Amino acid sequence: MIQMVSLEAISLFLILCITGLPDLAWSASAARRLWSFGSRLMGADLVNYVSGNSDKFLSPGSLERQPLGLYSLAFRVLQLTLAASTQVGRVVLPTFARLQDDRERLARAFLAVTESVSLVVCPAMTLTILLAPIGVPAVFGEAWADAVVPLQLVAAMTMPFVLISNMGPLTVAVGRPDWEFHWSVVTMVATLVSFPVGSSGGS
Amino acid sequence: MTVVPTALLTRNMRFRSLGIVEIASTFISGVLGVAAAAMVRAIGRW
Repeated sequence: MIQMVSLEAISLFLILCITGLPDLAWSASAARRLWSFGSRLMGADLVNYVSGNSDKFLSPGSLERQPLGLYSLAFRVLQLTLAASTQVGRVVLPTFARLQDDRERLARAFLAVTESVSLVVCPAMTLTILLAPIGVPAVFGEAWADAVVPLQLVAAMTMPFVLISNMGPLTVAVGRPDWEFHWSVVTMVATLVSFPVGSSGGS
Repeated sequence: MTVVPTALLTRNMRFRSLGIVEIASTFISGVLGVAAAAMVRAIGRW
């Protein structure tokens, strides 16, 4: 508790030291503009939260204890990639936003970022797929040998995931958070439908 | 509390400043948290 409160307070203090105190002013038109943009983005974030955590809601009911443990181990690979892609998203959003009026440069920047991220993630995931049969029993023990196939499946799925991970910042940067919202709804429905189907059909 | 100020720094692409703020505040608050836990433990409340 003390750590969390002091983290926020120290962060705020340091940021204000860097930026100085903001001017206090109210603008109804700015608030309307912000709400129009921010409400769609907030909706997309909420929907993404639901679909991103749907496995946590659905898996305890649809998976036995042992497959759940194997899935949990395999999913850590994706979590690591998700954490990295969140940090990339923080950097690329303002970069894309600055280029929003120059679509040619924006397209080049999007391709460059996607290429760079793929260059790191795709070889790492390919190695994970190839080395999992040796690596999982060696690192976690023979008891976790059944986690090899789920780990390989998650690693294979991570590659296309990374390829489209910068679409969110791109649509937001060009001022279309509604596209991001609609896409989030589609992926949430797909996730909520496919997870029970996949888990009932076996891992 | 820090969402808007952080967003303002991000918008201005001041990633170095953001990194310094995040590392410094994580380190300092971590030390404070551990110190507080040690103090609470020392007085027998935990």
